[in-house]
Order: sequence, then structure tokens, then C-alpha cells
Amino acid sequence: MTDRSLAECYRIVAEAVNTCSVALPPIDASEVTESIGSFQDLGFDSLAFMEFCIAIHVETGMEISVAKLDELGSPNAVARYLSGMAA
Amino acid sequence: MFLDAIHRRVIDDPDGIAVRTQTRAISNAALWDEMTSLAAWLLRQGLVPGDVVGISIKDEHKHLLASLAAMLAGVPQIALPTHDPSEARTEIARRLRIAAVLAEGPDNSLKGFTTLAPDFEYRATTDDPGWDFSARPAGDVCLYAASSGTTGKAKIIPLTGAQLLHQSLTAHRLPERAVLYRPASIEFNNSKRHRLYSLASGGTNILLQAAPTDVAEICRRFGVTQLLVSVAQAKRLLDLKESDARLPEQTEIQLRGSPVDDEMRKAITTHITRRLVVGYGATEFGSIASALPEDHAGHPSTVGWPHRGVEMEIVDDDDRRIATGRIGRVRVHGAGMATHYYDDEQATASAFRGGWFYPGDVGHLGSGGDLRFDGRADDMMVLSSINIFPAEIERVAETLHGVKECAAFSIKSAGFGDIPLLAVVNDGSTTANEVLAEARNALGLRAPRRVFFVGSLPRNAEGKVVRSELRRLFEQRNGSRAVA
Repeated sequence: MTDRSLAECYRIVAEAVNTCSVALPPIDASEVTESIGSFQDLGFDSLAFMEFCIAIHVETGMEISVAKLDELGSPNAVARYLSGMAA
Repeated sequence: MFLDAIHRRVIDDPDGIAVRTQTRAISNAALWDEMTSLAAWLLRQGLVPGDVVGISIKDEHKHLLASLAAMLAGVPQIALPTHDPSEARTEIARRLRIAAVLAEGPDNSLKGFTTLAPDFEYRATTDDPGWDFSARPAGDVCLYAASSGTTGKAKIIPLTGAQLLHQSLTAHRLPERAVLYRPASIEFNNSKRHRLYSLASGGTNILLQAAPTDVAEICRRFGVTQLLVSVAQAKRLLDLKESDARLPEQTEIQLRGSPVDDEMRKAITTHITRRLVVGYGATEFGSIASALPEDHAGHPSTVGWPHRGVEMEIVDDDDRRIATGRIGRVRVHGAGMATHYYDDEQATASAFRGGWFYPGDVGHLGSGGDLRFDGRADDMMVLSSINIFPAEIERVAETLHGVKECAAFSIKSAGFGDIPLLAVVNDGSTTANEVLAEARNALGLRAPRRVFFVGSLPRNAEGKVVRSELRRLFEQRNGSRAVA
């Protein structure tokens, strides 16, 4: 499905979370790997979900729907999804 | 005039439900009591009729109350959305010379402007004035709506009570006792106006924020008859399992603000509801035309027939009417139409001519007299129902450190519409991320989502930037990183 490494996907997702301005201070890829919680824990609202989807689209060219985010539940799961591990 | 309509429902149906929130059902009479008390409180703060206030209140019920109270007090208002950057709010506040910002806390105050935190618990006493709103001149502005501008400067649209009332009357499918749910913030001016239309036509407003998965359940629970969503929101509903997306039988879904293609109409009528209405309108006008559930099959791509009282024509570049089927500029006329933009002669001269309003759209008439939308006459982007003109991004970006010249363009997203991006010719003293961060601070939701550097901007023989070439360049650069 993709040739993107999991480490690269963690970086992309961390940047997308930071774009949404819900995480203060900004997070880095290692936090997506280990300690970050669910979107709910991060305080994502509908605008944050939109911004997250857009950031992923602009960075990867991949359209990911809000419903899919809801199903995946957390940035960590999205990174694994993007890398193809959990597709 | 607009308040007369709301007051009429208080007289005729005091116990009817005007507003439902998560925890309260507020009757017409109770809402009127709340708004009259808050109007008295506003005047006690020293505001006088004719002063303009900005409203920066995120809470749905409180924002609606503040809006109605301001109308009653004769104080024109404009929404200064809490999600907008303070620079953008300040610019609007300065242009309108507002007397105060109504805000719930210091977070949304604006430097240089008085902040008033409304006392929603205040109850009017016999010392407070009575209300003679019926005697107000019909030409008094009651509400200003801000909209994107082609020149980069926000357009400010003044609406009188009479215009707002006419917009309410022509807002299709808001019959008496409609139960309206529009799951978008009241801080967006179109969302707010639909809530006001509903109140004026005797309906009930459901004021809740919800995830897409909750929408159908809310429609069932509250007996929603009219669900107004953007195309992006409808797409999110289509992403759900059919059992979560399927609306109850009484609920009609209305889509406005973006083109709705035939494929999407079929998907909605198959998976969400047969009761689909596609509409066409403008902030300057209100609702212009609608295509009803029975219209879609015979007229793919139609945005419908003009409402009663609305005149619509397709004209050429010399404003001459052109034949059915030929593509030209759309122009409309009707009683709910604004007449000008505030303090913007150039934009007014372009959009309001000879008694007509030109929405800036290109279209043609179908053989049955319906309107087929063919696109924008300019390069406007629509991101999840937010209109964004390249010029408003460029005007801000050109002032940022390290930017020699720039051009905004968009890429398409199936879910959200047009995603704005910015190509920059830089002077080597800044990074793309720094430009992006500054643009975000200045533009908020209207900011580009990516800045990328180019050696020069592609231009045609007339010197105009070729945005399609920028799109190609971006996709070429991103191609190696895109997921298949």
C-alpha cells in the first residue's frame, strides 16, 4: 500500500497534530510512538479533525475521512494506518 | 420589521419552543424575556441605539441571545468569531468603529476596544426602558455580515431588519414550526442567519455541536425537520455506516454553499434520505433558488428554480440577457437583497449594478428555467463552506518577512473542497514553515495549509499568475511523497 516507513509516518502525524493547535507545547514523533493518547484525550473538536485531515492530505496526498479517524481513535493508530501496517 | 415577526410568535404562541439546547427547551415567551432583559442590560452599559457591537461568543444560546438583544436595543452587530485571529477581528472592528465587543471573557477582548461581558442573569426592572422597535426606520441596519473579498479586503454587508425579514420569508423550506438543525457554529454568519430565519418563521432551533456520528440520532431525538449541512458535512455522513447516517423519515437534508454533483445526489438519496434539497444563495441575498427532491432525477446538476419574489437572469459581459442554455454571469434581484458593501465603493460597483446583485457566479438556464451552476467568475476557493479568495491570502502574505512575491492556489479534497496553498518567491531570509506560521497567525481558517518556495511565479502573456501551473508544480513535487 505504501513505501513510507513507520518512523516517517510518526513524524507526519506529529506535525499534523501540531497543525491543529490542540497540543501545547508541540509534540514530536516519539510522543506519537509512545505516550500520546486518543484524539479525545488531545481535545480534538470538529475543526481540529478537519485540520488534521487536511494536513495529512497535503503532506501525503492521501484522503483520510473524519469517520476513519474516529474509527482509528488515536494519532498512533493513524501513523500505523498510513504506514500500511494496520490497513 | 424583523423583530415584529419574532414578537408576533410570542403573542400567537407563547409556549411554542423557540430553542432547544442539550439541557433546556426555551419557549417563545421565555426567549423574549431573556432577550429583553439582556437588551436593557446593554443600554445600562452606556450603549446607545446606532452604536455597533462585535459579538465574540462561542456558546450557541448565549450568542443568539446577544444577537437578538442587540437588535432590540437598536445596536447593529457583527460577529467577530472566536476562531478568527485577533488581527482579522481587529481590522473589522476598526472599519466598523465598533463601540464594544460582547465577549464572555478576556480571552476574546480586542486591544483598543471596550469589552462587555454580558450578564445573562440580569432581569429587566420597571426602571428599564420599554421597546418601540416597530417605530424604527426600515432602513436601519440591524446586522453586518463579513464575507471574503476578491481584493483581499473583507466585504462587510449591511442588512436592515426589512431585508433580513424578506430573506427569512424566501428561505425555502423553513415553514412554520420547522425544527431546524444546522451543525455549524453560530459564529459563521450564514449559520447565524438561518437560526434567525427559523425564529422569524416560527420554527425551533436545535443548538448543539455534534460529531457526524451523532447527527442522525439528534434528528431522531429532537424531531428535526430541516437539517442544513455543507457538502463537506454531507460527505462525512456518507462515510458512516448506513445505519448511522440514515435520517428519520421526517428529516429533509438541505445542502447549500458548494456545487453538488449528480453522483453525490444519488449517494445521499440512496444512503441518507430521499428528501434532498439543493440550494443556491449568497450572503448578500439570502436563499436564491432550490432544487426539491422530485427535481434531481430530471435535472442533474441543477441548483433549482428561483424562489417566489426572486428575479434571476443570465447575462453576457455587457449585461445583456442571453439565451437559455448559454453560459454567462448570474444576476439576481429581490427584496431581501443588500444594496451595497460597507465602506467599499469598488466592491459595491462591481457587485451591485442597476438594481441587480451579481454573485460572481457563472451559470446557464436549463430548458425549464432552472439554474445550472458552472463555477465562479473569479478564483474563489471554498474550504468546507468557507469562501476564500486568493487575494486575501496574498495581501497578508506579501507583508510577511522574506516574501518577495506570492500566489495562492488550491488543491482539491473530496472531503473538504479546496485546500488553500501558497507559492512564494522568497529572499532567502526565511523558511517556508516560518512564513506558514505567520500566515496562520494572521489568517486563521483562511490561511494556506502549506507554503512552498518557487524560483518565479508562472505567468501568462498578460502577466497574470497561472494558478493551474502552480497546482501542477505542487503535485509534481509532492508526487514522490504521495501515498498511492
